[in-house]
Amino acid sequence: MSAQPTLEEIHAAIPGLGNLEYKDRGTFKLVYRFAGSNGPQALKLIEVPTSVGPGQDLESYVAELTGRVRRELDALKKCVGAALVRLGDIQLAEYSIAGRRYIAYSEEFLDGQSLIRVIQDANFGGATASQLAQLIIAGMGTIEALWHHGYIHRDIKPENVIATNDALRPYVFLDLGVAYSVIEPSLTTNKAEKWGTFPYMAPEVFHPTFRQFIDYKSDIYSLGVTAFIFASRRHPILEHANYEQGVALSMILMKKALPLVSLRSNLPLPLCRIIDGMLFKKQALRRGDIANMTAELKGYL
Amino acid sequence: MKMLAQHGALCGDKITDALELGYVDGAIFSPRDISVRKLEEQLNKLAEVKPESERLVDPQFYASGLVDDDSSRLGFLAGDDYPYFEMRRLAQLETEAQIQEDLTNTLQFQQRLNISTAIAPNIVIRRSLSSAESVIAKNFIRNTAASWANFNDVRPIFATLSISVEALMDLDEFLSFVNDLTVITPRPHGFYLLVSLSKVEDARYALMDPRVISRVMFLVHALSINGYEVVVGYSDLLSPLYGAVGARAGASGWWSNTRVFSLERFEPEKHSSSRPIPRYLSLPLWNRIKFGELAQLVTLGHPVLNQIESDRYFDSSQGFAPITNGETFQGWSALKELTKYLVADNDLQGNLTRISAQIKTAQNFYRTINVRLDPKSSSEHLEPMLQSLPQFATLAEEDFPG
Repeated sequence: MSAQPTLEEIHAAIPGLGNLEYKDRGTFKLVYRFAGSNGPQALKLIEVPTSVGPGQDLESYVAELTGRVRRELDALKKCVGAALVRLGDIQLAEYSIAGRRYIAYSEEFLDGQSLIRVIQDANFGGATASQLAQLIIAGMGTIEALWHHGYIHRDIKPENVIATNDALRPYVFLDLGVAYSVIEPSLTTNKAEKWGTFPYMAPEVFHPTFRQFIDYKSDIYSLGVTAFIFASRRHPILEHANYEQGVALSMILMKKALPLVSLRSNLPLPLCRIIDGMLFKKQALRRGDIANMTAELKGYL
Repeated sequence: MKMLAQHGALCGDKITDALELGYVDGAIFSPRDISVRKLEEQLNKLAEVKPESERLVDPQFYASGLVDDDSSRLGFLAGDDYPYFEMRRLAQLETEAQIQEDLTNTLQFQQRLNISTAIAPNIVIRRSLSSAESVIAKNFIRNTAASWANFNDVRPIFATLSISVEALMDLDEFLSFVNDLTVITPRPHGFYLLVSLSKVEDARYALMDPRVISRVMFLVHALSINGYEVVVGYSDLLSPLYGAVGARAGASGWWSNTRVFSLERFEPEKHSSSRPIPRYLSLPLWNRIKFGELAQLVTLGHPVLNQIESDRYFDSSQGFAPITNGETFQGWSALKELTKYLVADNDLQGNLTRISAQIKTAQNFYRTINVRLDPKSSSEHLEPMLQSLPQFATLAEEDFPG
């Protein structure tokens, strides 16, 4: 990503953004806050590259990038879930800002902080049973809402969850940037490329022909890893972050996840087992009965 | 785990009596072997004896491919009693509209019966889980809940899932197939599972294969943890293994062809069968032995008797020849006792431990017997059962306690 545009440069390109302020940046996106029609909104800016790495085709790369953003917004328009981020006033469009091409749109601005920041807070001792139940219920609702329209999120992780200050929506899931549709054609130009964030990716995603058989159970695995880390502040399989990638991959594929109760004996055992059950290697063993699971989890709220 | 009577020909009052005596918890009826009038009578009687009894009717739609052969043994299915049962070729079932029509007709029929749970029709997946049959079977399952919802009936609906042992052999296909079942929407309440053999007499070889047993266990386990209820038809001696991993009920009948599932029972008869010699189900041996063998072993001092009330059906003063219906009642009672002893709800590790120990005890017991037994009475089924346990545990990503 090139230099960040100034607020004035953004104002010049996209008029009517009241109280605009810079908030954050992700792998591809810059995030700003502004006053929208129904409260604060998040402006998302994605720079369209003018060059790519050796062996890559710029035109295909740009087509894939814009296709992904379009799919993300299509998914957000179609899928209704209480814990899924909602779209804002600014419709997807391309803008020229300070001579550079950007794609921009807006979402609701969520008052809270990323779950990863909660977890990384030195004073955080691990989630309570109620927090875990809330997170999983919210996640399951999101996964179900997406799957209803044939989407898999593919990037559920603490960085993509906002712990809000809203008791009605305590956890909100965002960033469908690498969402996969089992109905629409694949957007990926390099079919060998795996989208997602490595330690959260389900074992089946590493299979060479994973597109043939991934489904929402892959998201359930990622949600399970997220919940496990929220509970214990460590990954269920990778003890630390310094493994060589091949070793880490082999561990993800072969090594059994640690039972959560071994790290959090003060959590109710059935709740630990629900989370452990989301981490099975085989998709069939991860529970798909979202309604029943949600009902069980409500007992911990 | 509940044990159900797998209904067959010449039923009489066996099932009602067994329900009253507490040997079974209900029944799965076979329309091939009973007129609609009698079926309705039997269902009403069971409901009267025990309102909470399990009353299921297997639509036996899987035999509809045999209608065009006059020599097929379709019994009452071939007449006017079961209007949903018509000849179907696979090609017809490749259209979803035909599947929906067959579901509607079958469930409309089931809906007016005094059943506790409805069972939807399906075909048998005979060769491969990646075949056209498999696609058709999944389409039946996918449409089951929606079809039942049209009747606004609060009773649960089960999808039929019938897989041949051959189709279970490709592990990758099998795992992918099982996962497909766990993500189906809308979801039926459960599955009526049938493991199909091409011939009944293959049971000792084809069914008693650790790969087959462990994969069926895995299937039951995966469906169960995904919130489905599973009733395994014709499960007979393997019932405790399926119950151990989450099956809600198993079933067994009174003829050998109602203790193993095979389309052979519906096909034209290839050879005439002689009347079988009655057998006693010995829990210490985890097997059925001829009543003559029972007499011989008891005389030699081997403790093969179960020492439970139903032993009375094999009268020692008559050389252990069973009284009328005695073999059936004793078998059901023993199976119920075995599952009660070995299977506890939600205790997978405990169940595997108890079953493993019980099989080893039976093997040790067999070693003490120095009488030549009929091959069907031998211990050859025990080793595959034992081997299936760690194989299941590996598949299910569980520790094996044995």
